[in-house]
Amino acid sequence: MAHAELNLAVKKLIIESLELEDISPEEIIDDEPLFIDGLGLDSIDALELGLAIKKQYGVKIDANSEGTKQHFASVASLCAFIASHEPA
Amino acid sequence: MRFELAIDDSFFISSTQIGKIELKDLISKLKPMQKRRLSNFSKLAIGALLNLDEQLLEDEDWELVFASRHGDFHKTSELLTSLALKESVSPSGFSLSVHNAVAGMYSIFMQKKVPITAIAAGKNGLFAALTDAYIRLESKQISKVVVVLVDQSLPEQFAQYSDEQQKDYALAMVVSKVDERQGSRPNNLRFVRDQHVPHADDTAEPPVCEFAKWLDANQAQLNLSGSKQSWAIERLN
Repeated sequence: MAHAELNLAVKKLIIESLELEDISPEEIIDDEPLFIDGLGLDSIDALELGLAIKKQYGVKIDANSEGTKQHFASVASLCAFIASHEPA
Repeated sequence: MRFELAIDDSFFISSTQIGKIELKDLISKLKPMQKRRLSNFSKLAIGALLNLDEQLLEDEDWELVFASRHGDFHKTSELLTSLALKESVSPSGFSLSVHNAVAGMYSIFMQKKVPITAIAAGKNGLFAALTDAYIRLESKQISKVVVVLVDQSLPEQFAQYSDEQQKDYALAMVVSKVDERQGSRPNNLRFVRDQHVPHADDTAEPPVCEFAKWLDANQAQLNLSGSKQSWAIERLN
């Protein structure tokens, strides 16, 4: 999947799975933090988003690994993580 | 059994007004992030609570009684469906699926740590909630109890189990002890449980709705039946 395409799809997935109806994909900044600052998501959002990504992309996320925290830091890191797991 | 209570304020919303009154207008005081995870059930309950007279609770010690027959059953049935299909259960759905979740959210929104009772007593929810409120007022050094009763029509796949008129509604009240010194006020009420055992009536209006309508009208007395219990309610004026 092309980079821009995946980027938009992930933003749409965030909005849809977390019921952020008032936010448009353009308002989510690629490298701004998703949690606490930036978009202001919380730990339950993290679980919900992890589930949505698993369903959509078949990427399994380990809830307790330090790497997971980094993957979930921003849209950009999340896209990189999904892309690295996508079958070539 | 009998007891007396003063209803200092009440707010009632039911199916007939929903639509004319938008649920989102009831919760307009909340911040966007607070509104985000609220289902229609939570909006009904919290919307009714937020429309009580805030000044009545200012600087008062109050506690909260929440009562609902089915809780957020639309959300619960979605979770049950996911489980039955062996799908993963939504974490945010799960986090709000316990019976006292809405009551807890209200406490968070009000930034007030209050003792909370969450009751599921079938058709007897109103009587159980008011009895609990009365006991709290009599046994503790508190001046007010906030009571909220909320339910929705059953989800379609459970409609066959319906045993009363199906409605969406929420009734929130601020109740206190009847104060003799203040003289008689129209909403000083006496509740008397009588010996009469009612016949089950699958088409009766939910007792909470009957009670809320009566509160707003001016008849002196109301006879209400739950399941296997009946109460007479009268105004003390």
